[in-house]
Amino acid sequence: MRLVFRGSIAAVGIVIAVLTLSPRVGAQQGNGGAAQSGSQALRTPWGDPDLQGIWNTQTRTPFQKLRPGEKPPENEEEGPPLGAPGNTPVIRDTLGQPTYHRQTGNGPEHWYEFGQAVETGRESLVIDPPDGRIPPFTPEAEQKRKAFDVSMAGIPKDEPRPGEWLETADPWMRCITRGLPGMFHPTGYNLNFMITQGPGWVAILSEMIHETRIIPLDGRPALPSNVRQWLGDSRGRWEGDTLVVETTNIDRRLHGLWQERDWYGTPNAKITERFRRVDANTIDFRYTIDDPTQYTRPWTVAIPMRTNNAPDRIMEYACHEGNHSIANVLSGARSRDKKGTPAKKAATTKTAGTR
Amino acid sequence: MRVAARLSVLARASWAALVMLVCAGIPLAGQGQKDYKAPRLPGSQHPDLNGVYQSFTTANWNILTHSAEAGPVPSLGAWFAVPAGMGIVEGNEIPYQPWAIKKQQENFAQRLKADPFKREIGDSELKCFMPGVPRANYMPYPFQILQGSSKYILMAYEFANTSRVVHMEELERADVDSWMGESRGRWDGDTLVVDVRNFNDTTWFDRAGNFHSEELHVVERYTPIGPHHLMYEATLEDPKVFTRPWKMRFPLYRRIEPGARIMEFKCVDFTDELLLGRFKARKGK
Repeated sequence: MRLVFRGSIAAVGIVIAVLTLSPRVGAQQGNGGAAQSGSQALRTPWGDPDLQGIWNTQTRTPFQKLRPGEKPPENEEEGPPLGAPGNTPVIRDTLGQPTYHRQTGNGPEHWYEFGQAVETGRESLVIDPPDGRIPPFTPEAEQKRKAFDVSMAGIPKDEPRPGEWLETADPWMRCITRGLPGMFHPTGYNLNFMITQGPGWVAILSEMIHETRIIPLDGRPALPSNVRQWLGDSRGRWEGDTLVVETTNIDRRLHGLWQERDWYGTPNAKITERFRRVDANTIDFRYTIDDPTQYTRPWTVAIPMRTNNAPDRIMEYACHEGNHSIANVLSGARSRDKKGTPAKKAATTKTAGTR
Repeated sequence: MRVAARLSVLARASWAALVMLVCAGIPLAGQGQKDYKAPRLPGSQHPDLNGVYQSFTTANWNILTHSAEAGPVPSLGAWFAVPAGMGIVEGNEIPYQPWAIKKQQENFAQRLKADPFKREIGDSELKCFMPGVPRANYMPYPFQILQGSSKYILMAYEFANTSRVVHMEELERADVDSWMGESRGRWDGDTLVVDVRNFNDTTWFDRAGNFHSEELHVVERYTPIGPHHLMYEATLEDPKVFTRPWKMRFPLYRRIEPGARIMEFKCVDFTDELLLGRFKARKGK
């Protein structure tokens, strides 16, 4: 399983500095929800289950269950194993700690939220299929993935193929979106979500990139299928105490070629999310991907949303505004084109065969 | 697009006194509709401001009164021409300090410039950067006020998927600069009053290059004046750029059509050519 840390986030300068500077009050004080403990209190004044608050989805639980003989990395931020083909050797600082600048788009070390993990007690975030693995791709999708991986062989992550521009640049590195449900996937930092509710709607603000989803609960019809949005078209309803959100109409540019940790979605998918508040400090969040054009069966992931590690506020994450990385990556690529330097050679690609 | 700006001889020392005068002397927004009593949010003594709103002004082109003119891209003909419009600034005057008048003119001349390494050049809207406050409220895109039963009110803007969280509780400010500022809200009767500080100096008020510094301080007032209208009023002060506080005012209209909603306007990739076009591979390479 590939655990390359998302090299992308690039951008951001200002805001991350903000995060490190801002006063961070403990989650118990800081969580802004109205609800107190006790089931009676976990309702809004208009009678809906109350999901309001600031939540964090950080966890160290692997996305998929490790295969027999597969070893977890000692530190997932450390990236791929030392000496892996195509990898720059890990650079260590004076204390012997690895630095995280190998990938072009990586942010500085002080952005990373080490040691802040919510333990799930599970071996994988994937809970269905029961083996904890994403089900096989359809033959057609698998073929596409392989072709993509082959075309990217030896290309450093985040960089374009020779002579190309933004064709393979991922939407996260570009500060457009982490996609849905990719926005909830554990990563290095800013995994904070503010949920606010009113009669007839639920809003989810993702700190990273700054993305707001406004989910109507009024049973309105779906958008026409030709209307596509990066975050799709979400509509919600209550099933008992569970908020069920169905999303379709995902932008066709969000494809399924990326690896599991980098999974953005697939335009034909129907994504069903379920949010259920189990106590004052926890939302049981899970989602199911149903896309017969991409996967041989639906699959489900559960990621707890906790107040642990959640800050007392959502900070402004000005991503695109400070995205020097994408310009630097492209500038470097053009410089390489000019010199005729081949992209780094790799005996085997990092991406092929890792599933 | 000329900005009428009158020079002031007032000394900086009188600044504080002026702030008080301006704040105290302005009639309340929505005066004359005082009889209107907005419905309450369930479980709350406060009015329910929830809704999708939009202003209908041409202020995003110029917050001062302006005539119609050709747009900046001739090949687009009348599509992106500048519509004439009445300004939203009280007295139709921005009290710039002398140096700032020149700066606004320079801004205007450079409004279409973009450089991925110099974010301060040109109009931030052009580059899909967050538009700042109060500009976000008079851009030609709707925004939604999401007022639940939590300690914050979320304002979600269609443009660039921008948002602001208005904290309705005492919460120590981070005091670091930002694009949309740091908002703290309180109720003054049925008026939502939002105090916004900690901006950066990069956003403009409009496409005409009207601008502020990082010392901008905005006090906004959102007052329900009818079932479908809020009166919006903002007092702006910035001792680095203006000689005195000044105000803008315009109504916000509720979008009442069925299914009114914020659609997605993630504009980052609309700026590819503008910001990153120079990094395309040359043909034959």
